[in-house]
Amino acid sequence: MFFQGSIHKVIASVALVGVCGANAFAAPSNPDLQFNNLRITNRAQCAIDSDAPTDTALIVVDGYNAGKLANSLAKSVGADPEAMSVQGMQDFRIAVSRLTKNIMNKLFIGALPLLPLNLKTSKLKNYNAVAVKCEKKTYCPELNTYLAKLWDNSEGAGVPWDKLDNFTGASFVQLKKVDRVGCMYIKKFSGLQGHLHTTDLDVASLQDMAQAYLAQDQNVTSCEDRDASLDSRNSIIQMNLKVGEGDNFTNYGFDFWNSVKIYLSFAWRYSNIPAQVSPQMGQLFKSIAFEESVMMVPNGCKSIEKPSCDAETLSLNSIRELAKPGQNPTDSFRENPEGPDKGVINNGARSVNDDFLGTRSYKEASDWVENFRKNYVQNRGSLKSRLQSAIQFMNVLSGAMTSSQLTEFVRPLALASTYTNSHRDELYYLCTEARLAGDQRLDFMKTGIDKIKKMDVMQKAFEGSSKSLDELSNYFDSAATGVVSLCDNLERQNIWNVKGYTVDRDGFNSWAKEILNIPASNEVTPQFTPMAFGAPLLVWDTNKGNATNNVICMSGMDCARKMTKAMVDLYAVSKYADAFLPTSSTVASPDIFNPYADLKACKIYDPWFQTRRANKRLFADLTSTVLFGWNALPIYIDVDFTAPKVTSLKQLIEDGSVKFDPALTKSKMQYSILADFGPLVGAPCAVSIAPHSDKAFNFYAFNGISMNYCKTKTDGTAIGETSGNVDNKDPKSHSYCGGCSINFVGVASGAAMTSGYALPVNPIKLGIYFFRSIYRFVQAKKDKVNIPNSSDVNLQRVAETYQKFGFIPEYCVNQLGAGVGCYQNICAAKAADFFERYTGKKVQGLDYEGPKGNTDSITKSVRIRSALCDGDVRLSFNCNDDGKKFSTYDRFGGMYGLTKNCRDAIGQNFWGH
Amino acid sequence: MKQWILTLIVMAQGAFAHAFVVESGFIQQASGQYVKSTSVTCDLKSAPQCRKLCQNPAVCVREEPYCRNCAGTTSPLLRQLFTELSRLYTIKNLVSDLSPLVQYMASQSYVLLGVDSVFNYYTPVGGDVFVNELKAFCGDSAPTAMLVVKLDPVHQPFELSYVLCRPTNGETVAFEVMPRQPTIGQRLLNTPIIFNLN
Repeated sequence: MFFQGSIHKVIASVALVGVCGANAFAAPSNPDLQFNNLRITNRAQCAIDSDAPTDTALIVVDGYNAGKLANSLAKSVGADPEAMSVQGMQDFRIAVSRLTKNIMNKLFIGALPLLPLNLKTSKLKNYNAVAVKCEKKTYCPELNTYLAKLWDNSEGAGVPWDKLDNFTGASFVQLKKVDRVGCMYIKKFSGLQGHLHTTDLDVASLQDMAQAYLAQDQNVTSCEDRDASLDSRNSIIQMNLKVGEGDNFTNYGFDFWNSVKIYLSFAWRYSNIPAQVSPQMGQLFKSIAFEESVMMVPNGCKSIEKPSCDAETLSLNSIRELAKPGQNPTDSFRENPEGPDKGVINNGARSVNDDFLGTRSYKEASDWVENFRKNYVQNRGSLKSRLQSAIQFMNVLSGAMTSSQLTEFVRPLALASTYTNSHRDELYYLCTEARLAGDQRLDFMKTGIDKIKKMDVMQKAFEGSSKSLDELSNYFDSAATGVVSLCDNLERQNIWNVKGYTVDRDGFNSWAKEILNIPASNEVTPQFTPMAFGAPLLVWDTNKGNATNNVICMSGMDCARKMTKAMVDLYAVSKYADAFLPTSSTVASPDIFNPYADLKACKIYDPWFQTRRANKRLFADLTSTVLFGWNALPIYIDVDFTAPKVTSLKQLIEDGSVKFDPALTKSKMQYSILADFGPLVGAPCAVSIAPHSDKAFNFYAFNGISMNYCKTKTDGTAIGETSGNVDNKDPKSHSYCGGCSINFVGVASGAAMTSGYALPVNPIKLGIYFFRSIYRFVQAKKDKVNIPNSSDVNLQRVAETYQKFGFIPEYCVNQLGAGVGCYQNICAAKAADFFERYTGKKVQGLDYEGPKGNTDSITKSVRIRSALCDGDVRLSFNCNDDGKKFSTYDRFGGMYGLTKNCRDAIGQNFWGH
Repeated sequence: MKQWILTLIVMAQGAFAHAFVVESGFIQQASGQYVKSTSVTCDLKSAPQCRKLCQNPAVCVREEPYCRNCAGTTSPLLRQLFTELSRLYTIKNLVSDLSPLVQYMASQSYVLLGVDSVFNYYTPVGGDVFVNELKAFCGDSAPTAMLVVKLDPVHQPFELSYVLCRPTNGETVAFEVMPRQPTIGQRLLNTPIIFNLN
């Protein structure tokens, strides 16, 4: 009876601990302020992490739309515009935070089902049908109706889920009902986001984290804090998901984020949460351009959407450049952008997690957001404006005349009997621009322009246009063909090859100037005025004549040039459409903190390469040691492997989206031959030749005084092919090294020994080359950047350690990097961590008892004093010396109470059973 | 949207003082929420129109539906209306018989954009730029003019249906509008044109 009762107590307390989980020792007073462990990664690990779903994200909220709405409302109702605008922005920020939190919690407790990303494997019949219907549209009433039913059910409508769709248990996350979402307004970027500016954990970075944690109030606050000093015009909200190791978040994480985004956009217009947050403006908030005001960014290396090598991922992630401090000229701002794929190849490998986005450069987090949003909105505005002007002009032109009529309006101007110089100029511009954009034979841009209509994102951008993208594309096709053939005629007649005439290049459109490298002239160039041949060709209102803004185009030439410009604008916009155009019905989630997401997805960076290279090189080194190292010949072969290199990204259009197929040159084995002439010339000199590698080979075993001469040459050129692909030529590298050195051991000097003792083996040479193989392998594995490495830091533990010692001792770094506190050694630390999670009580003192029996046993124990009971508890566990393999016992967690009080607390009898 | 609320609040000016008048403004609900609403008042002559809307011969009030992404710079249509209205649109005809207008107002989903519209993110709200655009349609009564913009099934602004003017005598006058067709200008006779009109 007694035993059963005790066991029940233990089970109950274990169950309780299970519920409280990691928060047991210091449940935060405000559930919003829950911190996740910080995951510190180097470059290689960051690249690997990009394929996993993140458990922490940053919501970037721009309050401009809300503020302006409130301001205008105030003017209408006679309220104070300034005050209402501030209130509106604050309400908006809080409504976004509360709604996101609400949706995440609903998903976690199974009140809302997960919406699958992969429709091919989805079993939800109705959802799949809706998705197919809504594929080509941005917003779609069928989806709204479907989601409304799900949402109503989450609010207690009580319809059985299987009546709504084929929902099964697998469609729902079922975690215990606990507030699992931390939601914080970031006042300042600090050590609390230490993973963004730490690649290698050390005392300084841990100290920074500890101090930031202890001074939390200065750095973060609850996301629903209504303090007037918090900037709501530009704000950044950190959402932390409490998903423990055993919760399998990796399996459903991407579906989770997909669901959050879809529900968020839906519920913003449907649920009553915005109205709860804002008693005055909640209804009006439904009209806010929500997806343009909010961005959700992964907080670290893991992702919200799994990256793939396509235009959507690359162009969206190019937004990263806009987050850097200052105003950055970006590719998307150019007249003829190259496209995000070129940027990815050209930028290549770069640093990560070293605060390259400058979050610590700004005093307040909102200042960083302000810079980011300003750059983003400017770029977006420029692209939207180009798109809308192009669509409007093409609609107007094609509505007024057919493409053959346009050509006929150009014909008399092209084939005139006499030409003035201005006339020649304008024809020159017309013909050059038409050739660049519309000539199939030259195909400078023509194929690219033709591909626009195959892109789903551009089809969506044309929603609301009276003529479809296909119609306008065909219009341009036939008009361009007509104009180009007129130009062929003109060239045959040599009309520009006239004595005393040079074309005035200032009159080209800016897009053509960029391609032709025509520099902007120093003086302010007057706007080019198209020639008039009688009354303007196309006007809005005949009664207004030449009045400003009434003329659409002056002549056939002007119309044709404007048409070409419109198509070039569409082409430019199409390269970054996914990033900037409002063609998505959910908020954007660019992976701004992890540049390796794109690089890995496009195979430009392989995070496992260095690991494999070190292994392959060890094997090759050992082989050549065996083959060449034992004999007296002064020859040695050194082997290395080049990384596979992506030379270009070939564009393919598949299922309406642009995908990039990397063209890889394979990993090559490079060898260099070393001939050590020491014994032959009597002085320790040697020559190495590497015909394919640019490595200077240091072949002396010990450094003495040396003079080395190495000539290394790497030669790589990039060619622009006509199709616009950049082909990096295979780099031809070679090196010639020669040198003489007074050193302690000339490597082949063992030859002297062999001749003296008539040994067939050169023992010194063998030993040294063998040593070098192992040494090189070990050194390679220590590569801090390119061998994957990560640490897991629990902020609370770091702060406790800091408080205990007043600083972070060096020996604590490893332990704190394992996510546990700091004790005598890593095993003791893991044991203490286990004890606290198991019993829910804090460890007050710990004695490390060490291994049981012989010293290399992995069974160890510690004695713990805690608030659990009076006296000590011995905790036994298994742990190898580096702490990587830690495990506990099932029975009472391996604990034994050393006093009766403790045994009672644990639920053991006198004998510990 | 189809619910026309019966209101017992008689307009201060008197229910039957003016002829058919459409007005738009913000009302504050009991909960404190501001909502945009359209009110139509009728006189004896136009009472049947009000009855068609909401069975009340004097006054009908209706809450506007929300306008998706209108509080922002997403909609190309709104951009055109606020910045280039007079250039891109022209009057098709005056609506003399109110029945089709009333039918539209009773059954369609739409928003009314006035000079003070909160959806104007392009030019100063209440400023001269938009007023000048409206002058092309309503002349001197531009400051009280309104655009009737139809919404699609997902509440996005879809097309401009009517322009409502309110001249000094108070009654609302409606115009049907259409997008302007640009015209090909007069050609000089000595410039040879060879094209096939078919």
